[in-house]
Amino acid sequence: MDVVNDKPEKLNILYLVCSTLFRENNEAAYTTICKEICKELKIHCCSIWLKVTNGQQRLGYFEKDGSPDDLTLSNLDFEISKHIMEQKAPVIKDLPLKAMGIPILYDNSVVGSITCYYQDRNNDGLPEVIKDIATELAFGVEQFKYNFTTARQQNLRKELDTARDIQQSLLPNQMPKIQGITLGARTIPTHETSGDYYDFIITDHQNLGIVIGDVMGKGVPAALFMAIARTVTRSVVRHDLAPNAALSEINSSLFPDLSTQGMFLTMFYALYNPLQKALLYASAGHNPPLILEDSSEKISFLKSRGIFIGGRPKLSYALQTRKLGPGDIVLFYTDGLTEAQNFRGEQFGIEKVAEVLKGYRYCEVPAIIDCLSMRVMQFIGDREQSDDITFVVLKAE
Amino acid sequence: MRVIPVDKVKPGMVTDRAVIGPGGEVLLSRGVKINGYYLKRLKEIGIPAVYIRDHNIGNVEYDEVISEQTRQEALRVSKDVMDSIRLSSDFDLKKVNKIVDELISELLVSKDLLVALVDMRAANDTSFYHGVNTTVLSVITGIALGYDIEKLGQLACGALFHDIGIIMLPPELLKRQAPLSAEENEKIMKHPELGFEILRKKEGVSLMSAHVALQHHEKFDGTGYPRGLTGDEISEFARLVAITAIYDDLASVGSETSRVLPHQAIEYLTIHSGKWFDPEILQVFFGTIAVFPLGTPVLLNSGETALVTRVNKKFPTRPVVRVFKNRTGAKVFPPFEIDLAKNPAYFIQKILANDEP
Ligand SMILES: [Fe+2]
Repeated sequence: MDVVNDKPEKLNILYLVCSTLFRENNEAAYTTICKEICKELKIHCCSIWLKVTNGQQRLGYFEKDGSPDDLTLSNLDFEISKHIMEQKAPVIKDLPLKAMGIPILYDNSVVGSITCYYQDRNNDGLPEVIKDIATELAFGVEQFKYNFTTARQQNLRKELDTARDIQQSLLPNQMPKIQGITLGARTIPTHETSGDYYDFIITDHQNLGIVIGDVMGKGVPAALFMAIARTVTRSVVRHDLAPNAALSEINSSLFPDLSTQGMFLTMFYALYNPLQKALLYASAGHNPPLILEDSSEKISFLKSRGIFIGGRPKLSYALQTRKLGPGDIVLFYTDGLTEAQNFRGEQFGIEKVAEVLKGYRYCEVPAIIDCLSMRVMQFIGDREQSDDITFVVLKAE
Repeated sequence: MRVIPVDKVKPGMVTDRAVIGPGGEVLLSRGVKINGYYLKRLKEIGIPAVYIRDHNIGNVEYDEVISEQTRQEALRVSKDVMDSIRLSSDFDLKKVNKIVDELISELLVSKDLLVALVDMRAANDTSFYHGVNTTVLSVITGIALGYDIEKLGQLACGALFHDIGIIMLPPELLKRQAPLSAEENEKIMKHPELGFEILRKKEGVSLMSAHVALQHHEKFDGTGYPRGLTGDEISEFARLVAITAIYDDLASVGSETSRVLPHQAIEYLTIHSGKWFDPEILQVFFGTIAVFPLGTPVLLNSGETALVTRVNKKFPTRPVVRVFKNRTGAKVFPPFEIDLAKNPAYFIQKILANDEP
């Protein structure tokens, strides 16, 4: 008879999971659990992962005869666990080894994953055991995230995580492909999530709408408001409205909700026409994007006057136009970028942003974004920021 | 494989790449266990840092753009040429052509590779090493520019001996640490012309190569020397070597803290683009170097510590990294790798100091 169907053995593992996590809830404990699972179930390898916003963290891993000189399985496990948590679905695979993994659910949402790798054992009963282990692990894994905080902080942290998850789910996860330009974007979340947002919309006439906005507020309300703003903006700009008219209309639609909540948002809206290689734009109190002209190396700003959205029931905006030459770079950003602070309280500032942009202007968009992120993060050091850092880079070919 | 500054190297550590001395000789080959005596020698010679094997992180496979053997040979030939010019104002061109051909054929094979390792050397090093490194970088850039074999040969020869004129200067001048007097500076600024004379007179050396020596300190906007030529007046080879020679100096010479990292060098060169450097060649050159060299320890935005283990030619800031510490600083064992090109949520937040084995 198979070891898994052997009740006492199964109870053994579950008891072990439970008692280990009762003693300590840390990586060492999860590694011990993985090791014991391998031993009891006679399998080759086991891993436990924690899902974090926009990523994953390995909590425990054990591989029989595992060595850093052969990371085949360890690397594969990263991919498999990612897949399980992203798809919220089990994975059963026949690799050289067999893999069986499932999401760890808490309150019906994915908090992690557990995966077993084994060679030639009969897998009868294994799915049930893994499922039971996952259930047993769920509370511990959920708790792990908030390990170092008090109960009160835990609630706050949970709320912030919810806000961040909402925010992340609203950002475009793919860059649209538009002839003549390349695009890229990044949000660097900080411990207090704000309502930064950007969006790309292909309009009815195949122009590209670029939106960057900043909801003045924090936490779940700001994130929810961002969701509303995004929906309204998407439906308004779809029909190729001139950016000034689009902002007026967005303001009219959002004003009633905003005013009752005492919230407002700044927004910059640009419409790129690929045939004319030109940007039409208008601004509702948002920081003017920076443009670096390739031919002259001159930095200038896409300035346009306008009051933030939610300021008054009826607002009108100015319309501006700017032609783009080959190699020109436009940087849209929220104030989190320029106001990023180091430990002395100094701000990163627009001059430094411009300098970085100049220094990496020959790089492709992904590299410009990575280098700018790195320079800001190096400047910030360990100082906690009160605002998210968000920026969008457009480079003309 | 990790870059460890020599003062942090401890006996018992094992080299993961050959350590080359100031004369181009192999001090330690790959896979040697460092003992107290070796360590003392490395310090005496002034080697800033070495590539060390790390058993917790595991093996890192890498391909050099040229073989260690060819590099040795190139260094030897350069040294022979310099000695011979000093003695007899002449040198054996056949040997030079042979090694140049060998370099080019190896670099043509590895044209899909990036220059992913840093060639660290002592600050008081003479120019053989600089000449060979500059040649490697120049030929790779030449290949990317679509040069044929003949052009590559002329470029390589010019790059290898761009600073040859230096040997005609009084040796005590070269040993002096900055600052130099105006008079001394003027003497040093003669090296392009001195080098040109040597190469021009040598039968079989292309005038194109000789012009690299003459014009490698000219600047794109006309502020260079000896003649203050601008733009196209400077030969294309010399415009190219002006970039690769400075890059090699920035990235290779000096201590772990004073050496410039590739991404900083890119920024520096770009800021001077159009002023000192030809913008078009510069952009092609950027396509050939790894922004994060292999073995660079980095902090990811996830809070994890990782090591760069594979470079990605298409996405130079998105290499494959191997996570070996989690966000709390605890060891991740065995490590696992993340391909940043396929995982856009991750990015490199910071390059960490090379101080922990
Ligand atoms: Fe020189």
